[in-house]
Amino acid sequence: MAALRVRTYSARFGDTLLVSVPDQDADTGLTTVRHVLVDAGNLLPDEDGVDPAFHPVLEDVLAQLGGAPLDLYVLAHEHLGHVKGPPPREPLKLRHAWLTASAAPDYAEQHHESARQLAERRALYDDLREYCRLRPEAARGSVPSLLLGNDYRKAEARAEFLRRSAERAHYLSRDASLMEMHPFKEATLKVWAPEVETREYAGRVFPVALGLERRPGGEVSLHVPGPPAGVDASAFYNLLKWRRQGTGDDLIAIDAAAKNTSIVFSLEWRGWRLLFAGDAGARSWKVMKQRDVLRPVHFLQVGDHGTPDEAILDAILPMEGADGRQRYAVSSEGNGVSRLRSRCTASTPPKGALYVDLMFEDVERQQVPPRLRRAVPARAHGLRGLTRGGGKRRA
Amino acid sequence: MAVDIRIPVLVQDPVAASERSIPLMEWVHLRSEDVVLDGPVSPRVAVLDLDASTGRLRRGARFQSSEQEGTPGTFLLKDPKQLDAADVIQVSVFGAVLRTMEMFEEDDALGRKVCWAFEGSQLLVVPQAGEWANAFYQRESRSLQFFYFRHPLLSGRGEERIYTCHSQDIIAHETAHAVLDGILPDLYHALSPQALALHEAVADLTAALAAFRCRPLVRQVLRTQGGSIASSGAFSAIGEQFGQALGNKSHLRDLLNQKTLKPIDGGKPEDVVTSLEPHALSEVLSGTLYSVLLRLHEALKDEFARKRQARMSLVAPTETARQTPEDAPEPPLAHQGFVAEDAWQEARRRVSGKALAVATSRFKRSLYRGLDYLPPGEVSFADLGRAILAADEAAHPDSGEPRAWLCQEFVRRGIVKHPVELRARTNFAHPSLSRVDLDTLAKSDWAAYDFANRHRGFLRIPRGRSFHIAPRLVVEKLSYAGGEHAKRRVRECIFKVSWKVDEPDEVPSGELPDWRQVTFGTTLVIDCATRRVRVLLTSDRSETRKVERDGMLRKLLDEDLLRVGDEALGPDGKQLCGAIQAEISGGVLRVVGTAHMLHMVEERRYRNGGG
Ligand SMILES: [Zn+2]
Repeated sequence: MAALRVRTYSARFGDTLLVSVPDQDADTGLTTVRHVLVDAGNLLPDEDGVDPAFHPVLEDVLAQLGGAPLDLYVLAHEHLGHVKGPPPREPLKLRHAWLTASAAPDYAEQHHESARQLAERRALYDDLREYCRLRPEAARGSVPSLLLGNDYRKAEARAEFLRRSAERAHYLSRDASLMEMHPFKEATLKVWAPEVETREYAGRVFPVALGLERRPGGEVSLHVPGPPAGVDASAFYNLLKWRRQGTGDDLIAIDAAAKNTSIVFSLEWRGWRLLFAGDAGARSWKVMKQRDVLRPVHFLQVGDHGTPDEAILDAILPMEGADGRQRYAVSSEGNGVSRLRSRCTASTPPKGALYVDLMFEDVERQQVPPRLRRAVPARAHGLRGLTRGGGKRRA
Repeated sequence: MAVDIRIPVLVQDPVAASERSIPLMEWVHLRSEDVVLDGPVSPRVAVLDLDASTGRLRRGARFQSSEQEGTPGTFLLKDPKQLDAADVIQVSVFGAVLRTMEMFEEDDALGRKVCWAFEGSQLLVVPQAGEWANAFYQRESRSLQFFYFRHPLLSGRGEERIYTCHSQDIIAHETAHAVLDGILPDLYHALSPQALALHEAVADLTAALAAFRCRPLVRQVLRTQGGSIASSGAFSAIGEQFGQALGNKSHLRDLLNQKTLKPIDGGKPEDVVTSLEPHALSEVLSGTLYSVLLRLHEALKDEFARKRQARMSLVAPTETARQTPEDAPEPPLAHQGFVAEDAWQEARRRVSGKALAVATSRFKRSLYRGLDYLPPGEVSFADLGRAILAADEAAHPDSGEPRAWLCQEFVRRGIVKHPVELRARTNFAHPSLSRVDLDTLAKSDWAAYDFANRHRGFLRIPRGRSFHIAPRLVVEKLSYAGGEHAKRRVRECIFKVSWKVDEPDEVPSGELPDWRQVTFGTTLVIDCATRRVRVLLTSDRSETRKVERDGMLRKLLDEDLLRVGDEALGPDGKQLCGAIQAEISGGVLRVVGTAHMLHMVEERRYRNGGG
């Protein structure tokens, strides 16, 4: 029996999914299995190459494709922050690539205000990075990984790579007409987010006075003034400290704004509706709700901190499903999975496993719940250091 | 030994000043500081002109001390007309902050020096804090910070920089937040929407009162408006330049409004405020109080057109004597019978300046003295109504007409259902005070605790609750009773006790505990001479306020502002600026720093408003 398969790779390898869809052409009657890779941006190389830790995923994807090009590659969200190694032996061949609207080369010309805000966030990012370089003790906690993950120059290089390597690159926002933007004949795709105006996602940014002084030659130094006569020194330095206090807010805002531009799209196939939400955060969900695009789904994929709040879940995964079909969610981390459990079968790839598969069978002829295949242990792929995981049983 | 200084302060803001063709600058005399240094820096206010982009501290304006006896000191400015020159900005901000503080401190208002809610004596003022369309007071950094933003020029070519520190109303507003924080420190953590809105309303009303102090503006408005302020935004519109630049309307907020808490007959639906957002809600309270001021102004014009003194039930003769401007005319229609309408209006116009001076002084006195009477902890608009009524009565025992108007307006605007809710018992003897040594009560914490503990019922402290007593204030204020020479100084002791209460938390989130902690309290005001109770006021503990706190908590959750425990920390482990912190201990939620919502504009607004 025909079945759509969602292969979710372990969170260790980023939020990456390979969706394989038996797609029937009504004109010819022929069914072709088409592959969509939803990737957080870790599989493709950039100027620094590809992270060796992702090689097993890449090899598995290549094996599934069996030499054919990937039909659709969706760069869900550009989360960087991994050390790169040399590029893989065999490059991935891409037909269509989807990128978020604001990655378009002519975005700034079309959307002045959003582009201006984007430029401001980038300038702020540069300042924060410079500050942490000059004052390493400021780069505490998760600051370094946030800085690494939001390096817009790397993200731009990634987009550039996609433009060069895909047969066709598309820049998507909500309700984009998807004509000729994907290869499907039968399955239907719909983009729920982002809005084309990224200013919708600009979060709370606090002005910070970091004391960075830029000299004409491009040299940057840190300047800490002393209190003038008549001003209490401890009060003065306390003020300077508070004027830098927004650094954490700003990093979070930069990160959230980027994640909220994740492409969120649904794929409908023979009565199943699957939703891929990337790293869309609270604000993106809120906008989707305002724009009335939320619909009940049978499958939800959410990223790192992406589990939406209860009001949103009520719209996409109501407590009672409408058509009696089983419903599933995959989430890369434990965060929020428990909230999903009361509504559907929530699964994450078991520890040590390379991936977990979900099968959505064509039940239009026969009522059968989707099969949850046993996760394939990483060892089967010759990867050392990973133990055999206890995959989930059939639902 | 106070230093006498004379310095320039901007009038309104550059846009408002040019629209009304009034001078940009006004020179003011200040004498509340003991020492003045370059900067300007004084023991209580220090201007720190930090350059936001380089981190450097700009050189402060040079102080030129008095060269001979009797002439004031001043600052050496390169070109006082250069409004965006650093020295002009530094000096004018310093002047505007001090002038606002002095307004609170006058002997007919608080009658004492303001004290800050933070440690140390100096309020730090950063006039060019960075690029942002906002301004704020922050207790943690002991500072006022005024930001600037870019704005496209009308010509379409290029941009101009708009300084929030050029707007006198914004400076007065933020200074008022700082002063109010010293008077009512619990409001910094208040959860009641009305408590936070009260902070906003007092700050906006202070901005209006500062504008009434500006002679060129008052003269200009009264001249062009036929002696009326009832249709001019000159005093009531807050943040004109700012609001216009943000492109929304001609100002941020207006005290001249008809906002109500409930729908009323003949009212417009858009005037009913249902929002719990402090800025929006504040307009109901500020509009209520401002309309009483307008009414007093109109009534005084009627009186002063024919008589030197107004009727006693309105204002006391001593009040008028104190506030009458030097250039006030004699009553134009004295000893005249019926006159034609034109002549009547002309007479009213001629006395409008005098009427305004008397009305605004009365208004300021009762509002600021009322703040001293407010109970600690959570407060409501009705609490402020009761406090103002008691303070107004203490200051003007024989002139009760404006008090009746205030009650009517509180009812009309839906703040209370019936005037009786605003009634508090005043000026009565109580056995608890008969044998107390007031001096000891004021000075000794132990005596204060003992007094409160023995009179829990009287002070409404719940049984078994521990409580906190604030340092007592013994202040001398002016009182204006009837009779020609009835102006006198009255000493009163202000005794404040607060306690914490756990109330059920009925916010359907599933993430918060079932209980939350709120602070309530009582203020006892004792007349030192008579040992009678001037008034005893306890926080509004009604169910409606509790439901509003539920709403506020839900709003904070919805907007992702409320962060519990470590979630209020940023990636660097430091407290987030944009979050309101909550702590849970023993299954009870405690929210802190809600006053961070009180930036000049609500954040949502500038985010969408550009700038
Ligand atoms: Zn404010």
